[in-house]
This record gives sequence, structure tokens and C-alpha cells, in this order.
Amino acid sequence: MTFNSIQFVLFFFVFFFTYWFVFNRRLKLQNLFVLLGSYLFYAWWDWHFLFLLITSSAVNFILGIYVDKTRNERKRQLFLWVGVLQALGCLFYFKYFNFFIASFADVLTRLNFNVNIHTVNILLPIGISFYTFKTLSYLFDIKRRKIEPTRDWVVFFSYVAFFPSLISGPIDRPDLLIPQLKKKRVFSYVTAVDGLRQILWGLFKKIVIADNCAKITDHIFNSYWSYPASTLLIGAFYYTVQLYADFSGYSDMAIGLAHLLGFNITKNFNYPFFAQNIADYWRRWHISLTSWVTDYVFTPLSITLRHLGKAGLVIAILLNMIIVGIWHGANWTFIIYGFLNGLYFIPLILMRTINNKKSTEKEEKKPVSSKSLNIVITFILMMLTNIIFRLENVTKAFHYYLKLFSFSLFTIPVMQFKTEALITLICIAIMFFVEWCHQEKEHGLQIGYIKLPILRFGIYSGLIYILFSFSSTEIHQFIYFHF
Amino acid sequence: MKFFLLKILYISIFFAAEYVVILFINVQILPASLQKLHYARFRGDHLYTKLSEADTAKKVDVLVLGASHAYRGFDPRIFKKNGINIFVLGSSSQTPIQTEYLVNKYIDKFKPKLVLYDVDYNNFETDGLESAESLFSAANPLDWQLLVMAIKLNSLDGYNTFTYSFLKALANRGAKEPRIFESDEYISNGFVQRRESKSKYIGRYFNRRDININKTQFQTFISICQKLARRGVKTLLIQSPTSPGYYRSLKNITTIDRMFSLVQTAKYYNFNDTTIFKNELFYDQNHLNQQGVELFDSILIKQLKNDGEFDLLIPEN
Repeated sequence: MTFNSIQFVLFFFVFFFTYWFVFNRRLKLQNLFVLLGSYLFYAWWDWHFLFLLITSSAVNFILGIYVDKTRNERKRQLFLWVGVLQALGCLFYFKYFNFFIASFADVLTRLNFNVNIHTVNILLPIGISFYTFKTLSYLFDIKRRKIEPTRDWVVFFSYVAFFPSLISGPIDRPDLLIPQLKKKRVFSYVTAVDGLRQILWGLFKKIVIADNCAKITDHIFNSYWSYPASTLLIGAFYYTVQLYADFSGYSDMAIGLAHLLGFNITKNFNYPFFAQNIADYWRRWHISLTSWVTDYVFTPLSITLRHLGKAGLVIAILLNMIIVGIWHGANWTFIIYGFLNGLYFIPLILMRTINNKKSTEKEEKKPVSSKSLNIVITFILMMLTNIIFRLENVTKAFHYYLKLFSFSLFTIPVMQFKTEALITLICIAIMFFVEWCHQEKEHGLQIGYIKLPILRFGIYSGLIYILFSFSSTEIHQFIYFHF
Repeated sequence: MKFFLLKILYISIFFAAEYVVILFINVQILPASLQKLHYARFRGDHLYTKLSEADTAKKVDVLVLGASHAYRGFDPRIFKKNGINIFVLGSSSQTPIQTEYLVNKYIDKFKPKLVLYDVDYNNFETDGLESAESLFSAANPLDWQLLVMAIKLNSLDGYNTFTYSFLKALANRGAKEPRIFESDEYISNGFVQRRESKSKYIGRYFNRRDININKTQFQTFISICQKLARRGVKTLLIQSPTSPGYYRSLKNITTIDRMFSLVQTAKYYNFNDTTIFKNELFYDQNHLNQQGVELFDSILIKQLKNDGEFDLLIPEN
């Protein structure tokens, strides 16, 4: 039941009316309804793992109370570690077990040891990376006395399983969502309308841009050896746009749905393709993950390593980015992806332009041409790095890069689906233009400022026309469902 | 809230109307390849004519199911000469999901004793959208089962084709065969004959590939076989010939053969013999020309007769 399916539309229709008209008077019942709705939504995907979600919520709910009420610091630390081990244990088993076993066997084989290790066919519970990080931040924040644990299990369980962000984020922090679950939601016309606009924008990005790009990129990446470098470059471009449109489209829909229910959840993207450098890019891309890792990994690590000076900062950033990479899945490609991104930070650290207020102000004062050049360079850098993110293994990525940096880069690209590629390119241009014009807004379609209703309706109608006329024939699953 | 809901209602009505207008405008102005519906695309199955014929048809000896291999490979005239009355209920890229729909709808009408089910592996790999759209365009009237099929497929093309066909039918303008290839001729009882072209198929190179069977399609296929067995209808699974180069490019064809052979309620025949069915007997990599059809049907009838598969068709005295 994806957001862009009829099943979900029907589900949400019923949910919305029941939520606002039946359970609006009693907060407890409304929260219980949110919880049951979220579990139904999750079970629709795979009911087998619902038990894991409930168990994980229960364990962390209890541990949260113990971490808070225990006065003994060592005991508090112990309870925290139990929670961390439980969360990371589950994540490790379901997501990384086979990877480590296979890598271990590979190392032993290279050392001439005869190994016969079998991997186990483990299914990945959908959304596990997202809800695990939610529960972890809950425990960390209680330990730091940043928040108090909730004693209302329905509130906590709903926080973990809140369906708009359950499957693919954003990874909401407890201090944002739990207080909202504790107080009565009031329907706001303005917020709800804006939520609908954001859903429409997300749909456009997902089913017009991302799914159309997928058709082109799947073809190029699945048979890259038969194409010249110029085509591979086009493949990398479309994949970068696809990744953004797919994930930010999902996030837009999630935020829009939450708005319709009276919630405000974490903004996950802030127009990353208009970033001036790689640090800026990561402040704008998958914000809920990067801010999570910054708060709970990078900051403590950089404090620990600060005696090493710049070297400490480099190590902290490299580790931070490797964690971001490996969060995506158990594959060397993701580790290298994270590592490469970490490397891109080094010049910024050396030039002291990272997180530096003066340099940010300096960047702001730069002429538009210089800014545009920075934007293009950052985009190209990410486009090239995303190749390794897309391919199944390092060998394939290596061959792709090898072929990409060859003389055939200057030949005329060979393409299938030329017409589709051209139409998609026009739609991409529309997306970039709209988002460029709305950089100061929360999302690309925040057009409430347009006073003429007929103009607003013209824009909606135009988008509806594009949705029904140029959406992809094939519906592709959201990329981040796999993570 | 009341204002919001009212506004949503008005907007929904407006957008629904806009959607209908878009559908009709697109069919009129966009080239078929760019239309997000398959209503106006060229099709080879002549499904509207076929279903109209099926609606008024009587009992047959043999019902043929499957995709283009079925309606381009099983010539009722050749079977008739051998005293066997067949109807080919094949449609473009028909996958088991659509076969199940057609079996449910027409099995009581045809009351066949034997079903020849052409199990073209290509149609076990897809989600069935193309075939569903063919059905949406041709079925008259559209029913709930087809709506459920559209929802399950959850594709914009599917919804568009369904809605457009529905509206056309409402306006009583859907009662005709959508666009068909000029090189095709419909032969009564479901066969489509490709007129001989001057250029013959000469073969080409194919990348070697694995056949990836879609799990849902295979489960549906098994359920069809079981359903037919429960009704006492004998089912034979037929793998029609494809061109030698194409056939040889399939890496896991032995596994696929084994998979079909293991179906308990049906017997499996693979007629791919690269020494007999050479390139000159095809008009493309996948389909036999009329000369090929005549050879294939005669081999098939002889083989099935020898195996006693047609014995049940002889009326008891």
C-alpha cells in the first residue's frame, strides 16, 4: 500500500474522516486510532514483522522509563546500552548479518583458508532502519535529560509507528512528535490545504519524474557495457534526479499527509541540488538522517577527537559519512559511497569553510555566476558519486566508471526511449524551475501567496494534466523502501 | 473543516471533469506511443470481435488459451479438417491473471472437454498490464472483475484505459474493434492470420537471458489448472515454437520446462524443435507465419492423436 496507490487513497479517506469526526473529542482514542491505523498500514506490507515493530516499541518504552527514573548513572548507562544493543542487534541481524558473514568468508578465502559458510535467507523488515533510529534517539535524549519519557504507551507506540513516516521516514525526533501526540490536534484549513499541495507536488515528483527516470536509468545501468560513455553520463544524470524525486517526493507526501492529520513532521529535503558545496548539500539532503547522525555520532566523536585538531575532525567526518553510507544497506558500494562523501569534506575542512559563519556570509555575497558554478560542480560531484550508490557491486561500479571516463564521452549518445527521455527532461526542468523559485518556501508548491485563485487553479490543473498525461506506465517502488 | 470538505468536493468534481477531458484530448492529439492509455494503440488480437463471437458461441471440443502464440498458432480451420472444433480465446500478451478472468467468464459457455493452454513463458514474466488493457478496451460491458484487475495492477495506463473504455461504452461508441494491423486477418473462432509479407524473417542475434517467472502469475496459472481439473476438463500445456536463435538465447529453459512438467493437473508438451522450425517458418522471432502454423498444427494434432489426447473428444455411442 504505497502512497500513490488506490488502496492507500481509500485507506486514508476512511482514516481521515474517522480521525476527525469520530475520535476528535477524545485524545486517547484518537491516538489509539492513529496507532491501529499505523499497524494496519504496516501489516498491509508484511504482517509478519508487525510483531518486531511492537516488541521494539515495548522494549524501548520500558527502557525509557528506567533510564529516566534510575538515579545511579552506571545503571542508567546500562539501560541505555540494553536499548542500543536491542536496536542495533535487530538492525544488524536483519540488515547486515549476511553481508558480514559473506565478507568474513571472502577475507578467509583470500588468506587461503578453506571456508564453507552459508548465508541465511533473511528478509528485511520494511522501515526497520527508520523506526530503529527513532527509538534510539528517544533513549539518547532521555539519557541526556533532553526529554522526559512518556508514560502513555499509546503515545510512544504511535510515535514509533506513525504511518506517514513509518516506511521511509522522515526520522522524527521524539521532542517534535511526542508533544504533538500528547495534545489535542486542531484542524487548520490553511495547514490542510498546504498539505494537499505538498502531496500533489510529491506525487508529481514521484510518478512523473522519478518513475519516468527509472525506465531510462534501469535500461542504461542494467546494460551499461553496451553503451558509450556519453549515454552512461546521461544515465548518471537521470539517476541522480530519480533518487531525489523519488525520495523527496515520498517525504513531501508524508509531510502533506501528516499536515492533514494536524501533525508537523520533520522536513527532509531543502532543495539539495541548489547546494553550494558538499557540506551544504548534506545539510539539505535527507536532513532527518544527517541531523540524527550529526547529533548522536559526529558531535560526540568530534568532541572526543578534538585534541587531534583538523585530523580529528577529518576522522569524525569520515566515520560519520561511512555510517550514513552503511545505513542504506549492507553493501560495499554504500560504504564507499559514504567514504567518498566524507573525502569531499576534507578540502572544506582544510579551507575552514565548513560550518563557518563568515564563509557562509561570504558565499551569500558571491555573484550569481559564481554561485551557479558552485551549484553545477556540486551537482556533478554527487551525480558521479551516485553511480556507485546505484550499482549492485563495486566491480560493476568500477567498470561503469572506467567506461564513463573514456573517449566515447565525446560521441553522440545512443539512447532507447528517446521521446520519453526528452519529455522527462522537460518535466525535470519544470521541477527545477519551480523549486528554484520557491527556495525560501517549505516545498515547491507552496503557492498560497498567489492571490489570484484562477492562477492557483491553473497551476493545479496544469500539474493534474501532466500527472495524467506523462506519468510513467510502470509504477516503481520507492527506492528508500529497500533501506 | 466544513469549508475544507466542501472545497475538496468541488475541486474533486472539477478535476474529475478535467481528467475526462484530458483523456479524450490525448486520444485525439497525442501520437499513440505517447498516450497513457492503450485504447487507440494497434493490437493484433481482434479481441472485441473475438469476445463478441464468444458471447454468441456454442459448445466447442477444444478451448485454446494463451497469448499471441495461441491466436496466431492454432488455426481452427486446420483443426476442423481433422474433425476437431476449437475456439481460440487468446489475447495480446495474455497472462494467467487475464486467462483466469476469461476462463471464469466463458468456460460454461464453451463447455470444452479439452483445454490447450499455450504457456508462453514471456507472459509469465510480466504484471499483465498490456493484456489487461486489451481486455478493458474490448470487453463490452466492463464488469467489476475488470475494475478489480485495474486496481490490482495500479497503473495509470490501466486506469486510463479502463475509464476511457467505460466512457466510450456509456456513449455507445465503444462497440467496435480498436485499431488493428492491416496485415492481419481475423478468422472465425479466434484465429488471427498474418498475411504473407515479401520479406521473411531471417533471424538475428539475441543476448542470452534468464526467464524470470512472476510468482503471482505462476500461482494464478496453477489455480487455473486446478480449477479446470476440478471441472473435469483435461488440460494440456503447450509450448509453441519460437525461432531457433530466440529459443537458444534462453538460459534456463530446461528449468522452465521442468516447472511446467511438474504441474500435476496438466500434461506439458514443448514443440520447440530447432531442426524443424527454422527461421523461414516465422514472420518474426516469436511468431510462426502461415506456412509455419500449418506445419506446427499438423505436428501437434498428430502428436496428440498418437498420445490419445483427443480420444475423449470422440462421442460415446
